[in-house]
Amino acid sequence: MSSLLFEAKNLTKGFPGVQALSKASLQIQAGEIIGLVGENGAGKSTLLNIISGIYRADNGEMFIQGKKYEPKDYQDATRKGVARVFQELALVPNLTVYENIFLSHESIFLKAGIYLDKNKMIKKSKEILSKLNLDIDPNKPVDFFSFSTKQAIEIAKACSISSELFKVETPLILLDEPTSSLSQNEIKEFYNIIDKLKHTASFIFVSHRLSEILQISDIIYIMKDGEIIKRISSTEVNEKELHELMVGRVREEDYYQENKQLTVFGNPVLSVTNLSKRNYFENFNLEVKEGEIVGIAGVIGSGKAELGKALAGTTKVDTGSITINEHDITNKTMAEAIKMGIGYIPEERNIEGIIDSFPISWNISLSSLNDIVGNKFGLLNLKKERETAKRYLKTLSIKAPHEKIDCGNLSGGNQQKVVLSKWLMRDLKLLILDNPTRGIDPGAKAEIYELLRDLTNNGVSIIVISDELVELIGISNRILIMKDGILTSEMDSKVKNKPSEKQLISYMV
Amino acid sequence: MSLQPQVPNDNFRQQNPEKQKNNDSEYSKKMILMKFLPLISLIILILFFSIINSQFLTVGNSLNILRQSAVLLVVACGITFILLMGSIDLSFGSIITLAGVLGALMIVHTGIPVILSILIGAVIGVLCGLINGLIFAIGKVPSFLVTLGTMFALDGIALMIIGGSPVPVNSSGFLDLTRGSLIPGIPNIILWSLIIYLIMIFIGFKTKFGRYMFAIGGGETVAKMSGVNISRYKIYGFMVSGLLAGIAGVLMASRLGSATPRMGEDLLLDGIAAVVIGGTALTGGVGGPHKTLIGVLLIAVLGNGMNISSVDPYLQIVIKGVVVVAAVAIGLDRKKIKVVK
Repeated sequence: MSSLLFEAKNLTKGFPGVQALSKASLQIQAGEIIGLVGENGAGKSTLLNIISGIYRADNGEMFIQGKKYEPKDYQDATRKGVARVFQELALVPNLTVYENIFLSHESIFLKAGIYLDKNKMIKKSKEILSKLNLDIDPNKPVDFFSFSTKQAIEIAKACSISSELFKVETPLILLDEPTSSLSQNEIKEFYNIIDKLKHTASFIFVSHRLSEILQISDIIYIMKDGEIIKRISSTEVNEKELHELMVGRVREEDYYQENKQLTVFGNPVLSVTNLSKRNYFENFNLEVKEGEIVGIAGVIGSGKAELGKALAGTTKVDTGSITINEHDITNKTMAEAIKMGIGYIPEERNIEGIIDSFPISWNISLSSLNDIVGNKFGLLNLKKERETAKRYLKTLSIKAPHEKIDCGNLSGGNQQKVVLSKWLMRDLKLLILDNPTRGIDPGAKAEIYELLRDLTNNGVSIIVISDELVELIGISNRILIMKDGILTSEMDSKVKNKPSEKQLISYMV
Repeated sequence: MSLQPQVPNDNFRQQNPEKQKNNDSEYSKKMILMKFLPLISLIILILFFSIINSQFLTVGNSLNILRQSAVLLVVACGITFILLMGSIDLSFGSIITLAGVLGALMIVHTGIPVILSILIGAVIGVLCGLINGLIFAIGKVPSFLVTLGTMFALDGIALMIIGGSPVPVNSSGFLDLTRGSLIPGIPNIILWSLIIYLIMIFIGFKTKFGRYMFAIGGGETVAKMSGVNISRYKIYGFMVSGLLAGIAGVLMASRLGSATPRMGEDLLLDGIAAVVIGGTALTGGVGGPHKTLIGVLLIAVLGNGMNISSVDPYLQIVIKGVVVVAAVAIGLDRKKIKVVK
């Protein structure tokens, strides 16, 4: 019943000095969902880039329904039935939904060669959206909608462009980590959308969340070092095996280093009383002791992200107080919070954590130019800056030839290690992390968990805010659950007595 | 924004260190070429003019070029910091005029010591920069608009003060400030500008202020999340730019022997062009004061070379425009710039 929709044979792509992809072959049946997994740098992005016409393969061939497929560029690929949903949404926020859906394909709606038939565009976009049971007003600007809705729009756009406009029967949709910024509920919605589309399209699905890959895909391709090393049916493999295949090393039981989890803590470090910020959180109370890891769970919009920002001093609160080691830092500047020993790892690494055009050493020292790397006259100690960076390149095994490499050239995991170094070099008392392992490969993840454990051994208090529940459960001593800005529950997460995801979710939603 | 995605730079995300090394060396070869492109262009330009005109590469003319570029170098150093922040300053030409006019008037009418006239220029420049900075950083008005406004306003003030006619200065002490030679054979103006240039390189790379200029342009949010007081350093940036424009104004008045209305006008576009040709991106975060010297010399050599080869003055302007665009198009390290606006 199924027919071969897409086939790639021996795709090879080299960059100067690097074989990014070698002899990758894959086949996709109509209506099939292919999962693509591999560590960062395994070649997943390169493969997607070739299929979607952004790169051209050095060698190898591709076919769509038996016909040779050689996309000239991304637009050409779209015309031939391949569309891609990007990790970072490629929608223009101030344009309306319908304008976004047909962006760069407006010529189809031209009347008399110049006049854009907007009514027809709106009508068509309504059709497309309702086909997917999406209740979205195409006249509203995209920015009006939540992140998950924006993603739904993007998927709708990807699916419809080929099928509606270019009469491609079964489009191939490439999903590049579509769920990485979604909350649990939104992921469910996302599955529903994929389910609805399954009879009209085929998918290649890339994700770091292996459980998702297992749940959603029919066939899984595993990539490693630029090669597809295995093709396996999702029913024949479990998460642990998949993980082992991917990284080529056994996933140890103590991925979260639970054996190192402390049971006895020191003095209270952070104490938060009745903290409120309108529209975000209300009457929040918390005490964190030396060596303790407190997890904060909650769906997106529960106020947990804003709470983290408030604790780190990057945003002001309305009422309540935050004290660290008995110093009141409520509504003081972030510089003050940093001086008191607070470090903050933001969620949006590329916007808030790392300056791409800065070398590693400059990024690491950025929060220490007032004291450690600079003196009171504002002069910098460049030698110390270099040496600090070198030290962290080594101790955190950041993969870069030297400390002068620009951070934009590093992989996500290595960038995150640079952000961590920025705070590790200081006399840290409290580290607040917002989704610290998002978009990071499992190897680097494990290293980050180990680092957090080591920090607690040195008496540092840690607050982890995360959408990844397994991570929270694994790493935390206790977990706070927020819902609609209110702390609804607190759960112990002791070794050998960890709560389940289900338990957490029941309080979150 | 186009539909073209940001393609991750896969060739650097490889985990294999040996492959990385290989790749690194090829990459850096290209980078080195790009890095020295402004210098190579300058050398080619100098060779070109010395071939077509025997008067060009003489000691006299070389000193002339340096003299002509000295004031430009002083202001361009200040503008470098503004561009590093990703901002723009359109008012520094007017600051030059105002500081030059007031400095000259003080010398003529009160006979103050020369050093004080420099100080007056500096203070005026800093104040103008402070106004720019406050409106920009605290009032959150785009720097383009703020400085467009102050450009007109300051020009107007200068015109009101001198009523449209030049202020000639005959004080020999004041003229010696730039025309004398503390080091035999080298006019003071060249000496001052080189000293200021070196100080600015020091400030750019060895001070917190300099680093924050890079940080604000490269990733303002990141800097903020690292505890940097963004607004304060934005204001500082404009004050430094104003300071140098103010000093440049007095130096220029001394060099010309008079302060004239709109005397800073030509320096505005030359200054921005020199910084960008040197390799500091308009989008911020990339470049640095050290690169600005080459840009300044390129502009000066081009102007001088065309002048002594008697190129039609109107054609000169056209050629300058073409060179600016070409130099930026070829030389800019676009890899580091995410969005070109």
